[in-house]
Amino acid sequence: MKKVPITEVEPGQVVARPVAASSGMVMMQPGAVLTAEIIGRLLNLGVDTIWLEGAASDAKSIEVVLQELEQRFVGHEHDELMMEIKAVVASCIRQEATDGRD
Amino acid sequence: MIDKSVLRAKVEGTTNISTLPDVVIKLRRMMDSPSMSAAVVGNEIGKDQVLAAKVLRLVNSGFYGIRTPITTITQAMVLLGFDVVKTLILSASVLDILELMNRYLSGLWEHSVATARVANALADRLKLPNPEEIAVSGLLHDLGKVVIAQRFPNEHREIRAIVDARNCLQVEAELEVLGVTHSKIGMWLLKRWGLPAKLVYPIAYHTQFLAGREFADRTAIIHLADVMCRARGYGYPGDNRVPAINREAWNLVQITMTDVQDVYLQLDHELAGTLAL
Repeated sequence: MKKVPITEVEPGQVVARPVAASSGMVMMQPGAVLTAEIIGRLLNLGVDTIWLEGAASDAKSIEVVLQELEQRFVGHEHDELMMEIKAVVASCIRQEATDGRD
Repeated sequence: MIDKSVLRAKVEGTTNISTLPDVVIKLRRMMDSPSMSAAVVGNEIGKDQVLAAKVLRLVNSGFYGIRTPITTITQAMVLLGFDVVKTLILSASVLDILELMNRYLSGLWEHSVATARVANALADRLKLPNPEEIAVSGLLHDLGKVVIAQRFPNEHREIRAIVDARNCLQVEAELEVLGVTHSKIGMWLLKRWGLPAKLVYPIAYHTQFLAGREFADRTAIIHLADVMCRARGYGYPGDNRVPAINREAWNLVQITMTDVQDVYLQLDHELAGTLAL
């Protein structure tokens, strides 16, 4: 699943989450296929991003995500509590990588 | 550096953040009458179609972890309960500001929503009354960053440059450039708008926790929720660093690492692919 600006979606792509207009009205349900006409209408209704099926093209590898985690915690190496939090986050990241691929 | 009183006057004069002050009056009225019934709320929302639309948009945004689209306020009331819908009105009222967030700082909205969700979960665990109110403080805890970007564009650029160059916390750059933090700036504005202290204090002091202050429990929760969301990497709070957890705040909230993990897992599940506003 990936979040894409309405200006970048293309006809034929499949909606992964309900699309609501700025009025709050739900316009499309998951599984619906986009057409050029529908995209134009969504644009007019003020929809600015859409969740589409398919792998996120910019999905980061788990190694990169874990490396970024390390960098966020630089300076806390001697803070036991912070190191515990970091370990919990790392385990969540690994878990997400194992069961979160869609 | 701009003189602090000049700075404050300019912050307090911020009326062009969408139509907020109007909406805040309504919000205050609602907060002030705890006895207000579901019927009154339903009626009130019904009168304001724009607000109704926003509430529905928020309901369907993933913020409440609902995956089947809800199309009417009545449906929302039945499914979510009165208290949650009341909070939704508050949240919908501030949605205008939240939408501004990502325009100025891409990812701040996601960080704010995640902080609100974590704050709500922590408040639940602590069995504090009105966890939804604490969630609202979580949603707005970085409001000051939006104000800085909107009211002080030159200083905002300077702050961004410092954060990028040094990879430091945004608050450090704020102190250097403005002499005050976004927490204080957020407080100035929210106080000016007349929001109650129980909502404002946690925002004002989330970066500088002190155990003796009023609403310390709520403040500790927002501080912890903010750090937890930064640690996990939900959204972008304006820098890529995690501030240290204040020990007194940690002790006050009384959670274990297992709780922390549970909250993360719950949120990972709820936020997976949501937050599409």
